[in-house]
Parts: sequence; structure tokens; C-alpha cells
Amino acid sequence: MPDQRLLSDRFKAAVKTALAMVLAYGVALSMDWDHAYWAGFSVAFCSLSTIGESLNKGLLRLSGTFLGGAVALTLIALFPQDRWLFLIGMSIFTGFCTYMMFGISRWYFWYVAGFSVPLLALAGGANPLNDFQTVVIRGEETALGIMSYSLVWLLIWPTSTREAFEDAVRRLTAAHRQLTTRYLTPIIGESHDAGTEAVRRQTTQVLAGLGGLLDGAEIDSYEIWETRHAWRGLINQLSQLTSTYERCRQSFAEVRDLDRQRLMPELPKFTIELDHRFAEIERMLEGHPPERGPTSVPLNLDESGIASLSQFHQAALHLYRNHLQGIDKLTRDLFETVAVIGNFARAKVERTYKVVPVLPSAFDPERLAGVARWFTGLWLAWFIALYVPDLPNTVEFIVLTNTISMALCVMPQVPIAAIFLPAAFGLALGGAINVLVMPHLSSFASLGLVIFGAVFLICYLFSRPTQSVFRMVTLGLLVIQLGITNEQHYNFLSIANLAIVFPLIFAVLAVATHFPVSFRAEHVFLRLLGRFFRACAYLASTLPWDPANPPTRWHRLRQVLHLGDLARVPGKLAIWGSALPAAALGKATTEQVQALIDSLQALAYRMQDLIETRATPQSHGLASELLSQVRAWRVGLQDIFCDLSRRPEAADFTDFRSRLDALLARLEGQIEEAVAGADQASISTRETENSFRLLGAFRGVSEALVNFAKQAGGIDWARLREARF
Amino acid sequence: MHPIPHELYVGEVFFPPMLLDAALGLLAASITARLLNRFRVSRYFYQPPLVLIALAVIYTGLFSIFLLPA
Repeated sequence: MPDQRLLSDRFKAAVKTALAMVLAYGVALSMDWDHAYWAGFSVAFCSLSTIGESLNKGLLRLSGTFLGGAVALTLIALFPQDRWLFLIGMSIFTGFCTYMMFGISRWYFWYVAGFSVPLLALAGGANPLNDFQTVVIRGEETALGIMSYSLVWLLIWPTSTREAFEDAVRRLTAAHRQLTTRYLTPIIGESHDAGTEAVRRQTTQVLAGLGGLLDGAEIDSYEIWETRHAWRGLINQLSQLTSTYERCRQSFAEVRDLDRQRLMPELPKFTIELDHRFAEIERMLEGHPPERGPTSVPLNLDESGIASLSQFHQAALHLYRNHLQGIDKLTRDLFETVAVIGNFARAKVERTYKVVPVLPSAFDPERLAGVARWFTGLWLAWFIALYVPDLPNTVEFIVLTNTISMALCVMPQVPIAAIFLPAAFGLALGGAINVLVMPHLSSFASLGLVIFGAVFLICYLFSRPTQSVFRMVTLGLLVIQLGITNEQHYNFLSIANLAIVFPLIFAVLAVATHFPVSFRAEHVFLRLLGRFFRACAYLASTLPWDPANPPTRWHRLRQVLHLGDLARVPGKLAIWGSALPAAALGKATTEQVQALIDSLQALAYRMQDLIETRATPQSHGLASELLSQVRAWRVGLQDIFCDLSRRPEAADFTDFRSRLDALLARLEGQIEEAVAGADQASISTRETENSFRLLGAFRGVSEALVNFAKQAGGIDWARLREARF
Repeated sequence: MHPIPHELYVGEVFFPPMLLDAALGLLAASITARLLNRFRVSRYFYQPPLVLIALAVIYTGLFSIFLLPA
């Protein structure tokens, strides 16, 4: 075997996929199985960069195929003579699968189950007796494909998912350590330099891929499997830590000008302690026992220093300290979890899963819009297949439309035109090999060489992770066009027919992209922006709720749904923002759009802070003194949110800034009077602190809104709204 | 109009003229749409995607009458 350093990862991955494909075809043909290309599909769609990830995806494909096969047979048995009932039953199941695909790491299971039903039901042909045989062969071929690439991945240049996963966790911990230094070291202070931005972005990217890597690492490493609950808990803690760091960064703006070292004398000690904790965590992740455990550093405030601050500075400092305490708790938990994983502690780790509220995700309008897009595509294809006479390759037409429609639900931001070129390339390459090369081949050795060459070429050309979709589409169509069987027939008509059907598939997908819900990047961007501000407006209206006297179930449900929107929409906007075409951006740049989305993320964190702080017990004395002012503030925010939900371009930075400054100046004196006038003996310190945190949270939301207005000024709203072909 | 239907052929393969008309119609509609986008005229249409389909149909019809009749 050549020296590993001489060969790039790109070359190795292409060789392995090509070898696995040849092996899968070789075994399928030697066993004389029908539909040998189904084994090729398994290799084409499941081969990923590491063995664990590939095996995980392969197993999901196999289990999805079994579920899809069972449902297909059941539907055929139930409705053998009634095509409409059969189609409705199939649509209900496939629609359910499409709906279940959103927001989970094991979406591939539902995807395969969903597209397998029409495929298996139609592949059996007119005779229902073939269907059972078809389902069995599909299962066999899928398993064969998985076996083939597993063998190749294990024997040739093996890449362990465990190493990739552990490396990602180490990188994430190192990134958090860097963020601690940058955010908390008073000398650096300023947190908006380019280096910090890069570390923040790296944190988000690594965190997004951790769940998938763990799924793979559980399969290829028994050690990871044994401690999988602790690892899942660790990912959850890292996710919470990332979010808390971000909130801390947001609240830093209001305390930037304060002498934090004087006001929180233990802050430098706290920063050093956090650095030590991360150093020990990194040490444990390297496999060495920790030299010291976490020590407690109370973040007490200097009372005399606090008294000299303005009321709003006091409020901001309380909020800032609250976030630091959150970081303190989370890093302790992280330390303990890593100690358990490394077998350096005996504590029992409970099964911890990321608590995701079910309802907001279940009623997510974008999820339902995705299902509507799939439904439109599939039924349009059905009607065309049923009512357009002499349409060639109807089975491929329906199956491929359904499969691509479902895939688009997972990555709705990918433009249809972007898939067209790889598909055309796969069709042309496969067609050319079938027509021009394959008739001259006389043995499997020569056929194997051709398959190897074609697959290698595709995998080498589309090797980047961002090109994985193109690679799969091209490989899939190559496999279909080759149409390899033991009794090979050559028919140009079938090649030409598939080539003609393909534009029709894309036409159907294009219609489904625009009707009934538009999936154009600019339309989705504006739709999400409106939803975000509607959520903010509703949540602002819930602030008068008395925590001791909860409102009706319906109102609480709406609050949960809107909180879900608040948490999810900025992430979605980031995806769609990067998909905006140049024509929609107009004079704005991608960086300006990113800055706008960052300001929305900050606003989301500030709103979450506000809602959480509002739920804590408040000082009644202060609340009654400031009731009318805080009410006016809340109503003002609510009005602005309502307005922005209809017209985000209405955000006027100068107006917002002057209004907020005037409000703060007016309230400053009133709070001072309220504090002085309140009966000190009757109010607890904790409640007063909560009230100050609430005022800080109000100010935080307002400042975030002002920042949004500033960023909104850079967007070319007219071009973003403009109707375009 | 030609009373007898005829076909286009490339090598030994025969194609209906309508196929080429449709391909040219789609191409012409795409070019028109790009130009309308370029000069920002598209904003005057209520539903541009529908207009694109309509343009493709109109061009295909025109080509099938004047350029490559069946």
C-alpha cells in the first residue's frame, strides 16, 4: 500500500467508494440477484468519511427499508384493487415520514422508510405476487451494499469515528477556554475582534456536528458505546455552555465601561479558576487524571462600589453576574461528566437528553410548509403519470420526484437549479458508458474497471463535505443509467426516456418550490423575520402575567410555541441568509445580512433573559412604585415588535436610540426615588436583586432592538421584497 | 401548416419537432426572465414564476408555428 502521507484524503475516499461499489456489484451479479444496482445505491448514499458514520447511516437505511417494505406490502394487501385508497394510504405514511425527518440526527431512517414505499410498491410491476420478492431483494441488496463498504472501510485506510468525535470535543473545549480568556480578562475586554468571531463560529460549527459524530462513534467503538449516556450529557452541557457564553457576551455591552475588577473583586480569580477547569478537562480528555478538582469562587459584589453606580448599571451588573454564575455551574458539571467518562470519578451519570419541548417543534410552520411542498410534488407527479398519455418511465418519474422532494425537506435552502447540473452529469456519464463502452465489455473484470473509474471520478470531483448532495445525486443517476444486470440489454430508448423524464421531474419540483408555499430564499427570509417579531410581540404581552397566578392552558401553550420560535428562527435565518441571491441582496453585502442575523440572535437571548427573569419573585415595593413606567416600556416594546413583524424596514436607529436614552434618563431618577422610598425592612435582598435583573433585562431587550435597527439600515429592503423570476 | 407530420432525426434517432420547440421555448423564456430581472422589470408582475411558465408556453407555441412546425 502506498505511503499514507503521499495520498490525500480526497483520493483515499474516492478509491474506497469505488472499490466498495465494484465489490457490491460483483457479489450481487455472482448471486444472480435482480436489481443489482440497489446494492450500488447503498454504497452511493451511505459511504461517509469514517467507518462509524457510514455504518450508522447504513443501519438506518436498512431499518428504514424494512419499515418501508412492511408498509408497502400491507398497503398492497389492503387495497389491491383500489388505486385511490392505496395512494391516499401511501401518502399518509410517506407524509408522516417526511414530517418526522425534521430536526433529528437520525432523520435518514424516516427518509428511507418514506421513499421505499412508492419504490417497492411500483417496482413489483403489475403483478402483486412480485411485491414480496421485490421487498426481500431490496433488503438483501441494501444489506449487501452496507457489508461491502464496511469491509472496504475497515480494511483499507480505516478512519475511526471515535477519533474524529474525541478530537471535535477537544477542539470545542479549547475554543471555550479561549472564549473565557477573551470575554473575562479585563485587559482584553473588547469582545468583537476578528479572532473572537472566528472562535465563536468554530464553536457553533463543531457543536452542530457533534451529535452525528457520536451516533457513528457509538457504533465503531465499544468504549464510546459504554459511556454513551455520559457523552450525550456532555454534548448537552457543551450546548448550554455555548448559549450561556453568548448571553454573557451580550450582557457585557452594558458593563463594559464599569470597573468590573473593583466591583467584583473575585473576577480575576474566577477567570483563572475557569481556565484551570478547562485545562483539567482537556487533560482528562487526553486520558490523564486531573491534578486538581474545581474550587469555589464566590462572585460577591463590592457593596460600596455598587452604591456609587447608577440604577441601570447596577441592574446590568446583576444580570452579568447571573450569567457568570451560570458558566460556573456548567463548567463544574462539565468537569464531573468528563471525569466519569475518563473513569476518574465514580459518580453515576444519569441519562441526560437535550430537553427539547415537543410542541413548538411539532407545530413549527416551516416543518408543515416542508410537508406541503413534498405533498404538492408527489401528487402533481401522480396526476401527470395517470392522466398524461404515453409518458415514459412513469415509475422512475414518481419515485425520483418523491425521493428528491423528501430530500429537499432536509435541506430546503438548496436551489433546484443547483441539483440539476450534477443530475445531468450523472445521466450523461451513465448514458455514455451504457451506450458506448458497456457493449464492448465481455467480463466482470473489465466492467469492474469501468465502474471503478466512473465512481472514482465522481467521488474525486465532488469530494468536499458541502458537495455531498451533488455526489449522491450524480452517483445515484450513474447507477440507474448503467442498469447493470447479468443478462445485459442495451436500449438507447430507455437512456433517452430517462433523460427526457428528468426535466419533467425538475419542472414538478420547481412548481412545488413556489406553490403553495414559496421556498425562495428571500421569501423564506422575510417570512421568518415576521415570525420572529410576532413571537417577540406575543412574549412581551405575557410579561404582565403573575407567576403566582398562571393564565389559561391555551395562553401557556402559545407562550411555549413562541419561545420555540425565538430559539429556532435565528438559526434558520442564518441558513437562509447565506442562500440569498445577489439580486435579492441589492446594495447590501453578505456580511451585513450576517450582522443583522447576529443582532436578531442577541435579541432572542435578551428576550429569553427577560422571560426567565420575569418568572422569578420580584420586590413588591419596587414593582408597585414603577408599575406605570415599566408598563409603558413594555407596551412600547410590544408596539415596536408588532410593527417590525409587518415591516422590519421600519426600524429607525436614530429614533429608537433617542427614545431609549430618554426613557432611561427618566426612569433613572424614578427608580432612585422608589428604592429610597421603599420600606427596606419589608423587602428581601433576593427579590430586590431580581427586580434589578428584570430592569436590566428590559434594558437589554431595548439595546438589542436598537442594535437591530442599526443593522437593518444596511439592508436593501426594497430589493429583498422585489418580485423576481 | 404541413398536413403530413414529420420528425427531426439525429443519426438514427428520430425526435418530434415539439421536443426541440419546447427546449427552445424554455431557453427563450429563461433568457427573457434574466433580462427582465436585469432591468428590474420583473417587479411589475404579480407572480413572476407563473409568468415564466406562461412565457415558456407562448414561446413554444410560437416556435411550433413559425420555426419548427410539426
